Amino acid sequence: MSAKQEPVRILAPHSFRDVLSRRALLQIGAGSVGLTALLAACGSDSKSSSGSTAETAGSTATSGSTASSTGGSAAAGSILGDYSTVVNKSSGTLAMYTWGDYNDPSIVGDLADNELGITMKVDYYASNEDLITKLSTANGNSGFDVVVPTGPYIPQMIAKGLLQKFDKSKLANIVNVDTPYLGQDWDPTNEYSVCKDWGSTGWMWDTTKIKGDIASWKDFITAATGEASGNVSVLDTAVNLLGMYCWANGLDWNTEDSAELDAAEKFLVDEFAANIKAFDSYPSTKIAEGAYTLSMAWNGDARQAFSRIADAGGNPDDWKWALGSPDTELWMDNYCIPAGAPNPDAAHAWINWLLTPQISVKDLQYHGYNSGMKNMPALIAELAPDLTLGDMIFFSDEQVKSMHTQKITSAQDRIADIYNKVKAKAGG
Amino acid sequence: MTAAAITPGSTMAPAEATHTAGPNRRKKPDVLRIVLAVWCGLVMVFLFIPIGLVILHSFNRGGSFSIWSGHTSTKWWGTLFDSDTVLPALLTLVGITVVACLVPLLVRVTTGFRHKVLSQWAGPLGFLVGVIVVGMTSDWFRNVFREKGIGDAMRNSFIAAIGATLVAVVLGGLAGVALARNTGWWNKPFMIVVFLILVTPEIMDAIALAGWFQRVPFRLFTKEFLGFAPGMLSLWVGESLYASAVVTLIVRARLAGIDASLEEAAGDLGAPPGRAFRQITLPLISSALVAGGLLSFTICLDNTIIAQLVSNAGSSTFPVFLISQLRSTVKPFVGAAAVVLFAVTVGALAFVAVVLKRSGDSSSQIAATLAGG
Amino acid sequence: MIWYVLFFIVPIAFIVVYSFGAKDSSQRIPVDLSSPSFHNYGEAFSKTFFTTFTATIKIAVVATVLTVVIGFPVAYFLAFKVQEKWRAVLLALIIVPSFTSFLIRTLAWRIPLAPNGTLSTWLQDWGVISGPISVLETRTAVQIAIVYNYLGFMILPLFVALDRIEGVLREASKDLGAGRIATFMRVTLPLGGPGIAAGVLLTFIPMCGDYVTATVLGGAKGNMIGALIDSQFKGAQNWPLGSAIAVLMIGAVLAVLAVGALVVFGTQAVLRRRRRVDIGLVGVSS
Repeated sequence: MSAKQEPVRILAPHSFRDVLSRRALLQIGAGSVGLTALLAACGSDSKSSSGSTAETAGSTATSGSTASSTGGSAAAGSILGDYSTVVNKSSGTLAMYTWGDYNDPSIVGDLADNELGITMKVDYYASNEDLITKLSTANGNSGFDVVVPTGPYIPQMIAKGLLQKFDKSKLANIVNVDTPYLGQDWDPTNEYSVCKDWGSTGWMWDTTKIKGDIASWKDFITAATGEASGNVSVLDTAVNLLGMYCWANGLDWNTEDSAELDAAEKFLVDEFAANIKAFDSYPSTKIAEGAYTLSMAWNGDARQAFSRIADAGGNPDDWKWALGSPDTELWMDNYCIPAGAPNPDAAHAWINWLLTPQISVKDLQYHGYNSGMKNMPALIAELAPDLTLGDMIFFSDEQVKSMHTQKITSAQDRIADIYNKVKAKAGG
Repeated sequence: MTAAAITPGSTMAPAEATHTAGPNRRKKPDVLRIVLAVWCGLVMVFLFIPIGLVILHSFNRGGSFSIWSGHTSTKWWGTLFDSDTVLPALLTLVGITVVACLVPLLVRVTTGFRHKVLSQWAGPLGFLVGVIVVGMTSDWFRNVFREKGIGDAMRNSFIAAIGATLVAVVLGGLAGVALARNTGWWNKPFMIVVFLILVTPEIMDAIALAGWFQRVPFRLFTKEFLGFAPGMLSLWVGESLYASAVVTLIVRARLAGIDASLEEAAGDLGAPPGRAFRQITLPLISSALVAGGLLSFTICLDNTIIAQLVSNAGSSTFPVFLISQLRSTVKPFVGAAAVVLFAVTVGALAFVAVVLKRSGDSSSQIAATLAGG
Repeated sequence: MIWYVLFFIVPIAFIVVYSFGAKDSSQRIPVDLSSPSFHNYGEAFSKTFFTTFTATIKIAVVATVLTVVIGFPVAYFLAFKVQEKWRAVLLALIIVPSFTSFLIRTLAWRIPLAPNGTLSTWLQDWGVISGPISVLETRTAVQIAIVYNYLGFMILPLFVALDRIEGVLREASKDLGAGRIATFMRVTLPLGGPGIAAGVLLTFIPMCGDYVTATVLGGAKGNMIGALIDSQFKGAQNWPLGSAIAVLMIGAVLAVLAVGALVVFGTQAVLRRRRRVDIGLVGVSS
């Protein structure tokens, strides 16, 4: 147990070094991470709680009388000691309605069975609107226990009575979520929702087809209407298209100003639409197929694109990713419990479990979006040292400052209308 | 039409024979025939390209269905299936079937007598027994899939499609008979309704029904029923809608060619309506029902949009699963799952075809009614 | 009948009623019926949607024609030129592909059509094409896949119709001195007409409402009305507009079929009466 900082530093992923804050390193050092504990944590890939070190872990549970501490890899002195790791057992079936490919299959499968005592049934939707349509038409009778809407959609879901309030006594691990990701505009007190993960928007381009750097939304538009014209994909959401225009022109993307919106419509419909090849929210696969040369993309999907390009026999180095600049989006998907959920107890247990650092990071490695845990760099260094392309998951404070969440405003119908016109124009 | 419809295939053979027999007309090889054969072959290739690709790509080693990594691997099949469960179940099934096929041979060897009925039915019966035995001895259908979500989805797809097909065949069959035999005032409106069902976009049915099932009197359709997952009942209703219209048309077309005198004769001879229906009408439309059933089954199995909105938690089907994956990345095991679905469907149909053939139905008759002409 | 009333007419009627309302996304059912109007129909006719409308009809008509052109020789071959024992096998081969999931078949088309795909590379190596295939996300891709998806539904009815033509009739025609082409034009084609009609019904209608093909392969350029209606109901949460477009689409499909039926009636007076049921109905209901 001779703790040294050296091995820790080596184990931290290369791409991650910039982001690793000094504080995190100090913490790891101060905590005197045992090398064995570290290795145990690294090796605990298939099963997060080995229980072997549970004795030294002590009780890290902060609350909840029914809780049983997992202990597990929360070894003494490990960074995990700083987290709440309450796991509430539950029973029965838990039906989750979520985005495709959004959880590590082993977490949803055997692990949930073994650690929580619940059997998962997972169904998938393809857009927030699908989810809302489904829940509204089912009128509280959909049979789902957990849903994962994106932040801005939550107020209307609350207004329609589609969600129920959390029983916070069952969500002890909510303290693990870093404060910037709590209390968002759409749910200031986290009564209905808690962050699953969040991401941002940027673009990818083929450097063999497009010369020059694309550093800002302005550059993006220039390239899209120029060299990449006809081979551009944009995210299949109305706001992201508007966002592109607004950020390129220094406007607020939540603008309600009708003159600004008119100008946006004029530009998007008359000048931009004809260059669009597809409205595609997950372009990674098609990038690898060679369908686009420039794609607006969410960071997690863009990150996957690199491995797909390699898969398809292409050269990933031909492609570059950039985060939207000077401003860009911050979206956040949230765990919620729909009204009329048949097994809310299991739902709470599940959400709480996903907020334990071990499970959260395990899931993160699968989907590639930041799950918003406190002190993420240290957590990754300890639990997932071989994570690649970390700079596409985690952003510097400066970058995070440039990100803005979407607000549902009175301009919503107007934006949808613009988007319809863009789509029609792009198709014509 | 009656004669031609019942044995459409047999009329051709003699015609073709006389055709080729004409000495003055067929000196050189039939160029048209060769051209057509080539064309037909090309169309077949066209039809099977995607299927071959689906099978190939289910062995893709890369992480995405549509991108070929250049290497084959069975890892995605391993992801999909739990080999500890699949292998014994398959082996048992094959074993029992083979044994059953050997029985007639054994009988023949030992007694020296070839039992015709036995040799015909041993195979299918053995297969059935095998399915039952495997099903009883292990709960393989619960454990066969390692990937829970897609396993449930595939199972749901089958249950939903079979149920919906039954509903469609019963309803469509009755409606078809009624339309062909009665000429009341409601005949035309009914026909218009059937036609409207055919042309209404699915999303409209979907939205309408999804809301409809939440109204109090219909709530029970979304509840659990006889051990089927909640929502399965409403899936049956929803998916069978379009299919039943198709069955109606096919049955109606089948009966339109045969006048009602047969049933009337039965009635005159003192048969009660129920018996006349059972003994005269049902045999007449049976091939139409089989054909309609086949068509319904494929339609129901592919139903995406209605299934998406009408299904409940835990009753969503394979296409619903697939379409949600489309928005992100389709993994190669989805291809594997599709291949399995395909194999099971074709296997089941081949089984039905064998049974039908052994009981004296001709396959081209099935095809004939399939199209409803 | 009661079944249909319960599960089709009444629910659909509600949706049709929605088409006169206005969007109100604060409610569970996002429709405000307080001031009914035809506003949505006006909007549905606006240029935005009309382009998609016409594009869809165009794709469907072209695809229907293509399926007839591709399918007819196959059906003809099956009906007249093939030995009995092969016929069942070939028929089975035509039906079998439709037992794979529709979605996965459509998705599989992305593989050969991909610009970086194997086919594209081969063709470039052989010098057949100069650049990579750029078909994906266009109407061409949708067109190819839609023809593929519905070809079986066209061949089967064609085959059945042709199969019922008594060989004797064709023999008689030839004996009376008619050439091959004349026999084909005067005997085979008219008698095969009902098959074409049935095939058109089985392909054209679902094509118009097709949602999957356009979504999977269409990109921005290949959008079809089925996907548009879907996006109105779900994406835009605009049920009234979606409903109005759907009603218009039903009308348009019926109109196209009616026109088609009229053409057939005009030119093919030879049609046997009882075979006319399906076509006749189109005339009645539109």
